[in-house]
Amino acid sequence: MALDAMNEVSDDALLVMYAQGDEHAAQALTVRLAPRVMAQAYRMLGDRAEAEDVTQDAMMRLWKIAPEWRQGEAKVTTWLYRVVANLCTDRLRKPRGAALDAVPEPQDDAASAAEVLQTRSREAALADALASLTERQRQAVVLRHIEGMSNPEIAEIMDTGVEAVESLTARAKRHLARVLAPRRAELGFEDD
Amino acid sequence: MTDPKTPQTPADLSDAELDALFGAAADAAPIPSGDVLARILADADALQPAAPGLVVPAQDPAQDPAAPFGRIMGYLAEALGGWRGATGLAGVAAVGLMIGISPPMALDSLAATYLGTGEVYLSDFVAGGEFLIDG
Repeated sequence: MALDAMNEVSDDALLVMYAQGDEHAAQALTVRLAPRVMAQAYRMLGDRAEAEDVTQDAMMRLWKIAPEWRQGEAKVTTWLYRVVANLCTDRLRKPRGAALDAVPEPQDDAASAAEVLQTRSREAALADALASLTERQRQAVVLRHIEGMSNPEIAEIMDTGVEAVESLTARAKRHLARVLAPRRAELGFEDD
Repeated sequence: MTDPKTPQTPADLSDAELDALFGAAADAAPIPSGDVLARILADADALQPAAPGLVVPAQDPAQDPAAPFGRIMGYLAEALGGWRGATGLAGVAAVGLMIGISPPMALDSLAATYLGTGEVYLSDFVAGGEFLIDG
Protein backbone atom coordinates (compact mmCIF):
# COMPACT_ATOMS: atom_id res chain seq x y z
CA MET A 1 0.00 0.00 0.00
CA ALA A 2 1.38 3.45 -0.90
CA LEU A 3 2.16 5.89 1.91
CA ASP A 4 -0.57 8.37 0.94
CA ALA A 5 -3.21 5.65 1.07
CA MET A 6 -2.31 4.87 4.68
CA ASN A 7 -3.64 8.13 6.13
CA GLU A 8 -6.99 6.54 6.95
CA VAL A 9 -5.53 3.31 8.35
CA SER A 10 -5.57 2.98 12.16
CA ASP A 11 -2.34 2.78 14.14
CA ASP A 12 -2.89 -0.80 15.22
CA ALA A 13 -3.75 -1.91 11.69
CA LEU A 14 -0.52 -0.31 10.47
CA LEU A 15 1.40 -2.10 13.18
CA VAL A 16 -0.04 -5.43 12.10
CA MET A 17 0.80 -4.58 8.47
CA TYR A 18 4.37 -3.82 9.54
CA ALA A 19 4.61 -7.15 11.31
CA GLN A 20 3.37 -8.85 8.15
CA GLY A 21 6.17 -7.30 6.10
CA ASP A 22 4.44 -4.29 4.53
CA GLU A 23 7.25 -2.07 3.30
CA HIS A 24 5.57 1.29 3.91
CA ALA A 25 3.77 0.74 7.23
CA ALA A 26 6.81 1.72 9.30
CA GLN A 27 7.13 5.00 7.42
CA ALA A 28 3.47 5.83 8.01
CA LEU A 29 3.73 4.98 11.72
CA THR A 30 6.95 6.96 12.11
CA VAL A 31 5.55 10.08 10.44
CA ARG A 32 2.41 9.78 12.57
CA LEU A 33 3.81 8.82 15.96
CA ALA A 34 7.43 9.97 16.26
CA PRO A 35 6.54 13.69 16.60
CA ARG A 36 4.06 12.92 19.39
CA VAL A 37 6.58 10.72 21.18
CA MET A 38 9.24 13.39 20.79
CA ALA A 39 6.92 16.10 22.14
CA GLN A 40 6.02 14.08 25.23
CA ALA A 41 9.64 13.13 25.90
CA TYR A 42 10.83 16.70 25.44
CA ARG A 43 8.28 18.07 27.88
CA MET A 44 9.21 15.47 30.45
CA LEU A 45 12.98 15.84 30.04
CA GLY A 46 13.45 19.42 28.84
CA ASP A 47 16.35 18.34 26.66
CA ARG A 48 16.15 17.83 22.92
CA ALA A 49 18.99 15.32 22.58
CA GLU A 50 17.63 13.14 25.37
CA ALA A 51 14.13 13.41 23.94
CA GLU A 52 15.40 12.21 20.57
CA ASP A 53 17.13 9.23 22.21
CA VAL A 54 13.90 8.34 24.01
CA THR A 55 11.95 8.72 20.76
CA GLN A 56 14.21 6.26 18.96
CA ASP A 57 14.14 3.86 21.92
CA ALA A 58 10.35 3.97 22.23
CA MET A 59 9.84 3.41 18.50
CA MET A 60 12.34 0.53 18.64
CA ARG A 61 10.17 -1.10 21.32
CA LEU A 62 7.15 -0.59 19.09
CA TRP A 63 8.83 -2.44 16.21
CA LYS A 64 9.79 -5.25 18.58
CA ILE A 65 6.29 -5.67 20.02
CA ALA A 66 4.65 -5.57 16.57
CA PRO A 67 4.62 -9.35 15.89
CA GLU A 68 2.76 -9.90 19.20
CA TRP A 69 0.31 -7.01 18.80
CA ARG A 70 -3.34 -7.99 18.83
CA GLN A 71 -5.41 -5.58 16.79
CA GLY A 72 -8.26 -3.93 18.70
CA GLU A 73 -7.10 -4.86 22.21
CA ALA A 74 -5.19 -1.70 23.09
CA LYS A 75 -4.49 1.72 21.65
CA VAL A 76 -1.02 1.99 20.17
CA THR A 77 -0.70 5.58 21.37
CA THR A 78 -1.61 4.65 24.94
CA TRP A 79 0.94 1.85 24.95
CA LEU A 80 3.55 4.16 23.43
CA TYR A 81 2.90 7.02 25.87
CA ARG A 82 3.34 4.59 28.72
CA VAL A 83 6.67 3.39 27.29
CA VAL A 84 7.81 7.00 26.89
CA ALA A 85 6.74 7.85 30.43
CA ASN A 86 8.74 4.93 31.80
CA LEU A 87 11.81 5.72 29.69
CA CYS A 88 11.69 9.35 30.81
CA THR A 89 11.27 8.37 34.44
CA ASP A 90 14.33 6.13 34.18
CA ARG A 91 16.35 9.02 32.78
CA LEU A 92 15.08 11.51 35.34
CA ARG A 93 16.22 9.22 38.14
CA LYS A 94 19.77 9.18 36.82
CA PRO A 95 22.16 12.11 37.43
CA ARG A 96 21.76 14.49 34.51
CA GLY A 97 23.65 17.50 33.20
CA ALA A 98 21.98 20.82 32.56
CA ALA A 99 19.93 21.00 29.37
CA LEU A 100 21.79 23.02 26.77
CA ASP A 101 18.83 23.56 24.51
CA ALA A 102 15.90 23.62 26.86
CA VAL A 103 13.91 25.95 24.63
CA PRO A 104 13.36 25.01 20.99
CA GLU A 105 13.79 27.55 18.26
CA PRO A 106 10.57 29.41 17.46
CA GLN A 107 8.90 27.93 14.40
CA ASP A 108 6.76 30.83 13.25
CA ASP A 109 8.86 33.02 10.96
CA ALA A 110 6.00 35.48 10.53
CA ALA A 111 5.80 36.34 14.23
CA SER A 112 7.23 39.68 15.28
CA ALA A 113 10.43 39.78 17.30
CA ALA A 114 8.46 40.82 20.39
CA GLU A 115 6.04 37.92 19.97
CA VAL A 116 8.92 35.49 19.51
CA LEU A 117 10.62 36.74 22.66
CA GLN A 118 7.36 36.55 24.56
CA THR A 119 6.73 32.99 23.36
CA ARG A 120 10.25 31.88 24.23
CA SER A 121 9.99 33.52 27.61
CA ARG A 122 6.75 31.66 28.32
CA GLU A 123 8.17 28.35 27.14
CA ALA A 124 11.27 28.77 29.29
CA ALA A 125 9.27 29.78 32.36
CA LEU A 126 6.91 26.82 31.98
CA ALA A 127 9.84 24.43 31.43
CA ASP A 128 11.45 25.68 34.64
CA ALA A 129 8.21 25.35 36.55
CA LEU A 130 7.50 21.87 35.17
CA ALA A 131 10.96 20.79 36.30
CA SER A 132 10.05 21.72 39.86
CA LEU A 133 7.10 19.28 39.93
CA THR A 134 7.36 15.66 41.02
CA GLU A 135 7.76 13.21 38.13
CA ARG A 136 4.19 12.00 38.37
CA GLN A 137 2.71 15.47 38.69
CA ARG A 138 4.69 16.56 35.63
CA GLN A 139 3.60 13.52 33.67
CA ALA A 140 -0.04 14.05 34.55
CA VAL A 141 -0.12 17.78 33.81
CA VAL A 142 1.79 17.40 30.52
CA LEU A 143 -0.54 14.67 29.28
CA ARG A 144 -3.68 16.48 30.45
CA HIS A 145 -3.02 20.12 29.67
CA ILE A 146 -0.41 20.06 26.89
CA GLU A 147 -1.14 16.79 25.08
CA GLY A 148 -4.87 17.24 25.72
CA MET A 149 -5.54 13.65 26.75
CA SER A 150 -8.52 12.51 28.81
CA ASN A 151 -8.16 11.57 32.47
CA PRO A 152 -9.11 7.89 31.89
CA GLU A 153 -6.47 7.62 29.17
CA ILE A 154 -3.85 9.23 31.41
CA ALA A 155 -4.85 6.87 34.21
CA GLU A 156 -4.18 3.93 31.90
CA ILE A 157 -0.82 5.33 30.82
CA MET A 158 0.23 6.04 34.39
CA ASP A 159 -1.21 2.79 35.69
CA THR A 160 -3.34 4.52 38.29
CA GLY A 161 -6.94 5.61 38.89
CA VAL A 162 -8.81 8.54 37.40
CA GLU A 163 -9.17 10.19 40.82
CA ALA A 164 -5.43 9.98 41.35
CA VAL A 165 -4.89 11.67 37.99
CA GLU A 166 -7.32 14.45 38.93
CA SER A 167 -5.50 14.93 42.21
CA LEU A 168 -2.08 14.98 40.56
CA THR A 169 -3.09 17.53 37.92
CA ALA A 170 -4.86 19.75 40.47
CA ARG A 171 -1.84 19.81 42.77
CA ALA A 172 0.48 20.36 39.82
CA LYS A 173 -1.55 23.31 38.57
CA ARG A 174 -1.64 24.91 42.02
CA HIS A 175 2.12 24.54 42.27
CA LEU A 176 2.69 25.96 38.78
CA ALA A 177 0.39 28.92 39.48
CA ARG A 178 2.31 29.70 42.64
CA VAL A 179 5.89 29.34 41.37
CA LEU A 180 5.15 31.27 38.18
CA ALA A 181 3.42 34.16 39.98
CA PRO A 182 6.63 36.19 40.53
CA ARG A 183 7.30 35.97 36.77
CA ARG A 184 3.93 37.38 35.73
CA ALA A 185 5.38 40.58 34.25
CA GLU A 186 8.07 38.65 32.38
CA LEU A 187 5.35 36.42 30.94
CA GLY A 188 3.47 39.46 29.64
CA PHE A 189 0.23 38.76 31.43
CA GLU A 190 -0.16 42.22 32.90
CA ASP A 191 -0.52 43.60 29.38
CA ASP A 192 -3.03 40.99 28.28
CA MET B 1 -2.90 51.83 53.42
CA THR B 2 -0.24 49.37 52.36
CA ASP B 3 3.24 49.95 53.68
CA PRO B 4 5.44 50.26 50.57
CA LYS B 5 8.30 48.58 52.44
CA THR B 6 6.27 45.46 53.10
CA PRO B 7 7.04 42.79 50.47
CA GLN B 8 3.85 41.63 48.79
CA THR B 9 3.23 38.07 47.74
CA PRO B 10 2.26 38.08 44.07
CA ALA B 11 -1.10 36.58 43.26
CA ASP B 12 -1.00 33.09 41.78
CA LEU B 13 -1.51 32.80 38.04
CA SER B 14 -5.11 32.32 37.02
CA ASP B 15 -6.34 29.24 35.16
CA ALA B 16 -6.58 31.34 31.99
CA GLU B 17 -2.95 32.42 32.34
CA LEU B 18 -1.82 28.86 32.92
CA ASP B 19 -3.84 27.73 29.90
CA ALA B 20 -2.02 30.35 27.81
CA LEU B 21 1.30 28.85 28.89
CA PHE B 22 0.14 25.31 28.17
CA GLY B 23 -1.08 26.43 24.76
CA ALA B 24 2.27 28.02 23.94
CA ALA B 25 4.02 24.80 24.97
CA ALA B 26 1.69 22.69 22.83
CA ASP B 27 2.42 24.86 19.80
CA ALA B 28 6.17 24.77 20.34
CA ALA B 29 6.82 21.05 20.40
CA PRO B 30 10.17 20.20 18.79
CA ILE B 31 10.10 17.98 15.71
CA PRO B 32 12.42 14.95 15.48
CA SER B 33 15.42 15.69 13.28
CA GLY B 34 15.89 13.97 9.95
CA ASP B 35 18.75 11.99 11.44
CA VAL B 36 16.53 10.60 14.19
CA LEU B 37 13.79 9.70 11.71
CA ALA B 38 16.36 7.93 9.56
CA ARG B 39 17.59 5.94 12.58
CA ILE B 40 14.03 5.01 13.54
CA LEU B 41 13.29 3.78 10.01
CA ALA B 42 16.59 1.89 9.88
CA ASP B 43 15.60 0.17 13.16
CA ALA B 44 12.20 -0.65 11.65
CA ASP B 45 13.84 -2.15 8.55
CA ALA B 46 16.24 -4.21 10.64
CA LEU B 47 13.52 -5.54 12.97
CA GLN B 48 10.74 -6.12 10.45
CA PRO B 49 9.73 -9.74 9.94
CA ALA B 50 10.07 -10.84 6.31
CA ALA B 51 6.87 -10.73 4.28
CA PRO B 52 5.49 -14.17 3.39
CA GLY B 53 6.62 -15.28 -0.08
CA LEU B 54 9.64 -13.00 -0.21
CA VAL B 55 13.23 -14.14 0.06
CA VAL B 56 16.02 -12.21 1.73
CA PRO B 57 19.19 -12.40 -0.41
CA ALA B 58 22.07 -14.18 1.27
CA GLN B 59 24.54 -11.48 0.26
CA ASP B 60 24.21 -7.73 0.68
CA PRO B 61 23.79 -6.60 -2.94
CA ALA B 62 25.32 -3.22 -2.19
CA GLN B 63 28.60 -5.03 -1.57
CA ASP B 64 28.58 -6.69 -4.99
CA PRO B 65 29.21 -4.10 -7.72
CA ALA B 66 28.56 -6.71 -10.39
CA ALA B 67 24.93 -7.14 -9.31
CA PRO B 68 22.57 -4.68 -11.03
CA PHE B 69 20.86 -3.79 -7.75
CA GLY B 70 24.20 -3.21 -6.06
CA ARG B 71 25.30 -1.04 -8.95
CA ILE B 72 22.15 1.09 -8.63
CA MET B 73 22.68 1.46 -4.91
CA GLY B 74 26.30 2.42 -5.55
CA TYR B 75 25.23 5.18 -7.93
CA LEU B 76 22.71 6.47 -5.44
CA ALA B 77 25.13 6.39 -2.54
CA GLU B 78 27.74 8.26 -4.53
CA ALA B 79 25.23 10.83 -5.78
CA LEU B 80 23.86 11.44 -2.29
CA GLY B 81 27.19 11.72 -0.51
CA GLY B 82 27.68 8.22 0.84
CA TRP B 83 25.46 5.97 2.91
CA ARG B 84 25.48 8.28 5.90
CA GLY B 85 24.32 11.15 3.71
CA ALA B 86 21.76 8.95 2.02
CA THR B 87 20.13 7.82 5.25
CA GLY B 88 20.13 11.39 6.56
CA LEU B 89 18.58 12.63 3.35
CA ALA B 90 15.89 9.97 3.53
CA GLY B 91 15.12 11.11 7.07
CA VAL B 92 14.92 14.72 5.95
CA ALA B 93 12.59 13.63 3.16
CA ALA B 94 10.37 12.06 5.82
CA VAL B 95 10.36 15.37 7.70
CA GLY B 96 9.41 17.04 4.44
CA LEU B 97 6.46 14.70 4.15
CA MET B 98 5.45 15.56 7.68
CA ILE B 99 5.39 19.31 7.10
CA GLY B 100 3.79 19.00 3.72
CA ILE B 101 6.53 19.80 1.25
CA SER B 102 7.60 17.72 -1.73
CA PRO B 103 10.87 15.80 -1.84
CA PRO B 104 13.63 17.52 -3.80
CA MET B 105 13.30 17.41 -7.58
CA ALA B 106 16.82 16.02 -7.92
CA LEU B 107 15.90 13.07 -5.71
CA ASP B 108 12.78 12.46 -7.76
CA SER B 109 14.73 12.38 -10.98
CA LEU B 110 17.41 10.15 -9.45
CA ALA B 111 14.77 7.70 -8.31
CA ALA B 112 13.04 7.84 -11.67
CA THR B 113 16.32 7.24 -13.47
CA TYR B 114 17.61 4.38 -11.40
CA LEU B 115 14.52 2.84 -9.87
CA GLY B 116 11.95 3.68 -12.49
CA THR B 117 9.63 5.33 -9.96
CA GLY B 118 8.80 8.80 -8.77
CA GLU B 119 8.40 7.63 -5.17
CA VAL B 120 11.32 7.72 -2.76
CA TYR B 121 11.44 5.46 0.29
CA LEU B 122 14.07 4.84 2.91
CA SER B 123 14.24 1.17 1.98
CA ASP B 124 15.54 2.33 -1.39
CA PHE B 125 18.61 3.82 0.22
CA VAL B 126 19.45 2.39 3.62
CA ALA B 127 22.66 0.37 3.71
CA GLY B 128 22.31 -2.98 5.43
CA GLY B 129 18.52 -2.73 5.21
CA GLU B 130 16.38 -5.75 4.48
CA PHE B 131 16.23 -5.52 0.71
CA LEU B 132 13.58 -7.96 -0.35
CA ILE B 133 13.33 -9.31 -3.86
CA ASP B 134 11.05 -11.79 -5.45
CA GLY B 135 12.39 -15.28 -4.98
